[in-house]
Amino acid sequence: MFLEVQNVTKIFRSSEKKSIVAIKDLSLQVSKGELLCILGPIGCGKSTLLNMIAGFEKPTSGRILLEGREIEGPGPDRVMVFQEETLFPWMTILNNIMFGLRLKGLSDEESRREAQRHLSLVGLERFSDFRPHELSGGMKRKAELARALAIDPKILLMDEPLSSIDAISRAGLLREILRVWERSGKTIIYVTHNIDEALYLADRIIVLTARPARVKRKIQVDEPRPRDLLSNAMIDLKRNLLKELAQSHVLAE
Amino acid sequence: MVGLERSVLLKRARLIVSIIMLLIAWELIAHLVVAIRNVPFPTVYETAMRLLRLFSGEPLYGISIYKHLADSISRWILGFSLAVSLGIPLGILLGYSEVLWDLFMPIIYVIQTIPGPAWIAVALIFFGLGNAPAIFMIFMVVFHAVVITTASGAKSISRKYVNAAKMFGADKFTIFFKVFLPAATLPIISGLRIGLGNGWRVMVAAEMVSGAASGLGYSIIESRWSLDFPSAFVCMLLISAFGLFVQRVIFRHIEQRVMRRIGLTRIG
Repeated sequence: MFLEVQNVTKIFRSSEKKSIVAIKDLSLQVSKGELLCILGPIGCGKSTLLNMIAGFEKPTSGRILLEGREIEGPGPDRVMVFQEETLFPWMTILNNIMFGLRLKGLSDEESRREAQRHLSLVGLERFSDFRPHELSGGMKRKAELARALAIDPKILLMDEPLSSIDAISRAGLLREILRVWERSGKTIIYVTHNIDEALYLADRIIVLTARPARVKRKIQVDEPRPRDLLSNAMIDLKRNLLKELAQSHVLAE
Repeated sequence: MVGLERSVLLKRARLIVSIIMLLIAWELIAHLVVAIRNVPFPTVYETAMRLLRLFSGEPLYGISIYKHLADSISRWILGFSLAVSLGIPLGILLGYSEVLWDLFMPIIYVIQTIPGPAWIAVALIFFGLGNAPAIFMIFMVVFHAVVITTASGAKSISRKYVNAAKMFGADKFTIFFKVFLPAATLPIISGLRIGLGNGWRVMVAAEMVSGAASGLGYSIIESRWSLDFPSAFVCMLLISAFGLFVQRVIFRHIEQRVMRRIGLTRIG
């Protein structure tokens, strides 16, 4: 198995007495090249799960294995597109993308070429000399996507990347993500609380329960892409998902 | 474009009205105090006349108003620069390392609770009378403001950038110099802005208690004995005018240039 989350529990201890069980005995598997969406209510611990896969947090118990090796810390084989903006504001877009490439040991010229190539991939080639604050929210997201893809990670982690984007740009960005995934063949784990995003993108949707997060349902989405969310099949799926989420919400109350 | 100009003009007009309201309130209070308490309270006119006489070179407590102003400014600049040159590096280190934060921040918080003039005993023991105790008091106040603002700002702002850098496999050296430091620029500037204001205000109090024989604060406290209150009012005006000038004009200008340079927008 490509990525394996084995019986992971995560407990945050805020003081001697208080502790929060964010994730409880959660297991899941991701195969290579899969586009997996993890769907759950806000605050259910899905970002924590992603942070552990990225290596920013360690599981309290259980293991996470990538190609059979346990994850020790953050590294360039697992790149995250964060919910908040993390392009370096003091660098141009091009330099932002070159940052990771240089660290991989590429020469200046090679990293410049690779960076340019990935900027064109997301349609930002004309903006390479701009600073992040001169770009729209959607363009910044694309730049972050390019930055993540440029260093050729094994797996791309996306933590509600479109939650701060308006509905109109969101549709375009979803298409972009899909296109990038189809072209690059990357494994993507996409975390969201938005059912439509999950339905539009996913090979497979994993529905989490409210905190502590556990796997509630795994749903295979076999509809061909590009998907029409208003087709009967998709509406049926959405109805099912809504029911699942409503139940997990009731459980939390 | 016409609309924009109009709104700018309106803002200017309101500013002028605001200043006129202040002057009218001052004048009214002056006349009321004279009527009720029967003691002279400097009016706007008397103060303005005193200002002109002082500016034309009439000495105040033996020296010219320009010398008072220059002495105040030089004490402030000295105290401020010393505090900044130590406070910024320390703030950066405390923001970067959790261990250093835990070790040093409690001390800084203790210092923060002590108002500048309360350091008088320490200042006198260290330096005796003269310039140095005033500079020391300014230093203490600016120092904690710079350290706290820089450290806490750097810590919170740079976290997400540092995380991103770690993810791309950056080593500690790269993270500190290429990511943490540029991200800390903004809190450093906020620290400077706060320190500048704090330092200027405490300078006045420091001169009152530290036995400096010149300066705007000294001139104000001397009016207790000389009863030359119009001069004290002139000094208050100068304190306010110069403080506003430095913070609003000079510093704002520097701040905006740096902001554009690093592509960040101001917080707070």
